Amino acid sequence: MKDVLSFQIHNQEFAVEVDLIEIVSDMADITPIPNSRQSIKGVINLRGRIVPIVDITDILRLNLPSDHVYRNILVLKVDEEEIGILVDLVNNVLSIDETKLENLQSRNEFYAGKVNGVIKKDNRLIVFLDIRAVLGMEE
Amino acid sequence: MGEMDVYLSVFLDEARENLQNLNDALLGLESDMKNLEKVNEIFRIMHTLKGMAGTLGFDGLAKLCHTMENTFDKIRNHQMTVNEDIIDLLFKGLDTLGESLDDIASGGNGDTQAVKTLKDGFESILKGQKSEQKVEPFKQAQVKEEPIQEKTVSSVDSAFFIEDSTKVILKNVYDKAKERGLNFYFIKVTLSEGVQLKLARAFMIQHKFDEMGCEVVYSDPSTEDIESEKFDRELVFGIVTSVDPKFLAENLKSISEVEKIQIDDFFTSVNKKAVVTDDADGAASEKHVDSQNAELSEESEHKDDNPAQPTKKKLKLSQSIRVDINKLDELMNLMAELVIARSRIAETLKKFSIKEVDESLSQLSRITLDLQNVVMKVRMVPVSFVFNRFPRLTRDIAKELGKEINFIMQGEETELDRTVVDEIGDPLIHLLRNSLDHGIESPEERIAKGKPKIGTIRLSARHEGNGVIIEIEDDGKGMDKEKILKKALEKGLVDQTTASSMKDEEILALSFLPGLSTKDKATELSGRGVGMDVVKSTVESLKGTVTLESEKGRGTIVRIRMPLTLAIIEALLVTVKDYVYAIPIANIDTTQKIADGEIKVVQDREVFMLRGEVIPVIRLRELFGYSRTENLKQENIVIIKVGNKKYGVIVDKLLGQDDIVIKSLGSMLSDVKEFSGGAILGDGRIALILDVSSLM
Amino acid sequence: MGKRILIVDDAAFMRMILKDIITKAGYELAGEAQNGQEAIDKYKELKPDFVTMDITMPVMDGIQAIKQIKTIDPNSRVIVCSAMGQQAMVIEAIQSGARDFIVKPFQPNRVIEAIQKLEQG
Repeated sequence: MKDVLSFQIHNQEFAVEVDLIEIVSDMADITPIPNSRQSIKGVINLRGRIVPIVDITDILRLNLPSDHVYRNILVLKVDEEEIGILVDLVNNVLSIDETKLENLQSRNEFYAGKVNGVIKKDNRLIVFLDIRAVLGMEE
Repeated sequence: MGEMDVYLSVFLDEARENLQNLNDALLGLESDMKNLEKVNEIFRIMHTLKGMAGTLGFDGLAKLCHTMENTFDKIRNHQMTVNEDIIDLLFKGLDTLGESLDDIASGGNGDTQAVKTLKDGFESILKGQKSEQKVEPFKQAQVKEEPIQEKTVSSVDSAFFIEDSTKVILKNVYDKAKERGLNFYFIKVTLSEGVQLKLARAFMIQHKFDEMGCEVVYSDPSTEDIESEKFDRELVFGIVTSVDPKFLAENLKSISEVEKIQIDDFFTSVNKKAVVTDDADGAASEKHVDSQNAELSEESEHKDDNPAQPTKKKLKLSQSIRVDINKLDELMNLMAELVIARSRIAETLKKFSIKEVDESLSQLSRITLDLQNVVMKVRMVPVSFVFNRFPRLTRDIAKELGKEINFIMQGEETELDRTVVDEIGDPLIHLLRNSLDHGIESPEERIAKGKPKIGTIRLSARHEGNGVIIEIEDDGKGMDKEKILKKALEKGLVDQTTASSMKDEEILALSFLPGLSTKDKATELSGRGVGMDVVKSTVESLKGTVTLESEKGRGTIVRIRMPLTLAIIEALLVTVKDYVYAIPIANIDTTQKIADGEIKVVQDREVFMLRGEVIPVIRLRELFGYSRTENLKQENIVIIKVGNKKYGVIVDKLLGQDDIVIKSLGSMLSDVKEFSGGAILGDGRIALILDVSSLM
Repeated sequence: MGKRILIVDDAAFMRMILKDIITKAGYELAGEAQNGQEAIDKYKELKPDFVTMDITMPVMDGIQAIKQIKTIDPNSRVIVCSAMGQQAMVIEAIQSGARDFIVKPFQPNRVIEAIQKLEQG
C-alpha cells in the first residue's frame, strides 16, 4: 500500500506520493525568471528559501481556461530540492494498492512515461503522476 | 549515524590535521636537520596517530606509525641522525599515511600495500642504526653470585620454586633480617591474563613495595629478565619488611591487572619438604640475590637518560568544534528569514507609530544585524587551510625541476569564506607551478645573470578594502611582453592596430586568453592546456579578479583579489519592468545616464562611447523578452567590466546598493545562464542576480 | 553521584573515546585538557577525583604535568595513558606520581578497573 495525496487542477484530479510532499502553501508572489522554460513560472520566497514554481499543465499540455487562477502551491522535496507545483486545491490522502492501478493508453504523448497509473476511487479517476518524470528529475 | 561512524569521522578529521602538522614539521626539519624541537614534534604526532589508529583497530596504519615513531625516538635520543634519505622516506611516509586515511575514509582498513612497504623501509633504517638504549628501572644493587655447581631446584608447595643454592644465600639474608626484627616473606604475584606493558606493571609492584617500606632482596625471574620482559604472568619476590602480610596483600591487590597474591614466610617456605630434581642440562637461570639488603641506597635509583624535555613552543590553541557547512547554510537561511520577518513587523507597525515599539524595533534591527555578521564570520576560515600544503608542493616541484627556491608565506591567518578557500587552491597551485617552471631560472642561469642563486617565491594574503588580496611574487625572469604580443598576433587573438596601441598591462593580460603559453616547450607541469585562462575563469567564478605585473628579468607578481565571502555580496539593485535584479558591485565599472542619441548602431549592435572606448550595449528589457519602455530622453546604463572587457546594460531604475545573501536557484533553473542565483530582499521580494560574464 | 574525571589528551579523538568509556561506567567528566599546562590549570580549577593523563603532548608533556599536579595535590590520583612501546615513559610517570597506567588502544574494562582500584585504594 502506498499513501498518495490527491489534488485538483481545473477539472482533473492528480496524485503524488505523500513522501515527496513538504508543505502546501497559499499562493505567493511569483518572481518570473526571464528566459526559463515555459513550464517554470518563476520562483517564490518560501520562508527565506528560493523555490522554483512549475505549472505541470505546461508539461502535460493540458489546456486551462484563460481566466483560470491557481490558488495553492504544493511544495515537494525531490532529492533534497524543493519544487513548487501550482494547484487549485489539495483534496485528501489516499491509500492505494499500486498493483491495482489502471493503465490507460494516453492519447497525449506528453503523458508518456510520466504517469504511474490511474486510481479509481468511488467515482473519481485520479491520475497518479510519476512526479520525477514530470519534472524531468529522473536519475 | 552509528557510534562507530562518529568515531571514524572524528578520527579522520583529526588524523588529517595531524598529517598537516607533520607536513609542516617535516618541512621545518628539512631546512634544519638538527632541529630537535621538530624531531620531538614529529615524534609526538606519530605517537598520537599510532594511538588513534590502534584504537579503531587499523593495525597496519598503527604499525607504520609505530616504526616511524621509533625512528624519531632514536633521533631524539641521538642514536640516529637525520639525513636526506630519512627526510625523503618521511615525506613518502606522509603521502602513504594520507593514502591510508583515504582508504579508511572509503571503507577500507587503511592497510594498503604502500603502508607495508614503507613500514619495511623504516624497519631497515632502524636496523641499520642499531640502538643501545635500555631501560633499567629497578633500583637494586646487583651482586653476582658465585657460579653454582649443583643445579637443583626445590619445589615449595606449588607456589614457590627456589634453588637450593639460592636458599643458602637467602638464609643469610633472613638471619640478618631477623636480627633487625624484620620479617622475610616470599610473595608471588600473578598478573591478569593479557596484561600489557608487563615491565611497567612489575615496576608498579616494585614501587608499591618501596612505598610500603619493603625491601626486595630477591626476585624470580631475575631483575634482568624482568627488564627484558622475559617472564610470563608470575613474579616471585623475596622481601624484607616490618609490614603486616595482610596489609601487604591488600596493597598489592589494589594494583591493576594483579590477579592473585600469595604470601609465605621464608622460614616456613624453605623448611617445607622440597621435591628435589636434577637439572641435567644446567640451563637454570641465575637468580639475583641482594645480600646487602640492609644497605640499599636511595641514590642508586637511576634512570636510563633524561626525560625528553618538552618543547616550550607556545601554540595558539583555540577551542573549536566542527560544523557541517550545510548547517551553516541553514543558519544563514534562518538568518535571512529573521531579517525579513523583522522588516515585515516594522512595516506593519509603522501604521500605528507607537514610540515604545519603535525603540524595541530598532534594537531588534541592531541585534539582527550583529547576528548576521556573526553568522558570516562563522563561515570564515584562515587561508592557511589551503596555503599549508604549498611548502611541500613547491619543494617537490622545485626538486623535480632542479631549481632552488626560498618559499615565503605571509598572512596565512587572513580569513576568507570557506567556499572561496576550498576553490582557490587549484588556481594557486597552477600559479605556483608557473612561477617555479617559467619564472624562477635554474641556479646556473641565475648566477650567470648576477642574481642570487636561490630564487624567491612569496605567497601572501592580506585584507584590502572589502576583500582579500592574494599575491604570488617571484624574482624570476619575468614575462616577455614582445613575445606575448607576437604569439597573440600569430594566433590572431589581437590585430595589428590594437596591438600597436596596447598598454603594458593589457599585453600581460593577453596571457589569460585561452591557448596562449609563452613557454616554447610545454613542460609536463604547465602544458596540457590548463593555463592562465583556467586560473582566470576560476577566480572570476568566485567573484574575484586577477591581474599581472611583470618586469622582464626581474620577476612577476600575480595579484588575486577575492571577496571576503561568496555568500554575501555587495550588489547594485536595479529594476527591469516590475522586478528587481542585482548586479555584483565587483563587476561594475560605473553607472550613468545616457541620452538616447548617444546609443549608436554599429554592425547591427547597439554601442556607445565611454571615454573614447566603444562599449556594446545590452537592453535587459529586450534580453528578458519584455516590451521596450516608451522612448525616454535618458536611460540608466550600468557599465560592467569582466576581465578587461566592458559592456553596458540598460535598466529601468537604479535602486541602490545593498548586501545580498546569494542563494541557489536550484537545478531546475540551471539552464538559465543569465542568472547566477537569487537573493531575498528586506521586503521579502526576490532579486535575481545577473551573471555578468554570461551576458557578453 | 559519580566521581569526576579530568581527561587529558592532545587528540580529541582519544578524549572522545575515553569520555565514552567513563561516562558509560557512570563516572562524570569533570573536564578535558589538551596538554599538560592546561591539565594543571584545569586541575586547580575543577579539582577532579581522577585524571587520565596522556604522556606525549605538546606544550607540556604528561610527566611534567603529573609532577606539578603532585606538588599541588599530593593526594591526586592520576592514571597515565600510554601506548605500547612507551614502557620507560610509563615507569617515569609512575616515579613522578602517577598511580596507575592504561594502554592504548584502550580496553574499557581496563580503564574502569584502573579507576575502581584507585577508588578503593
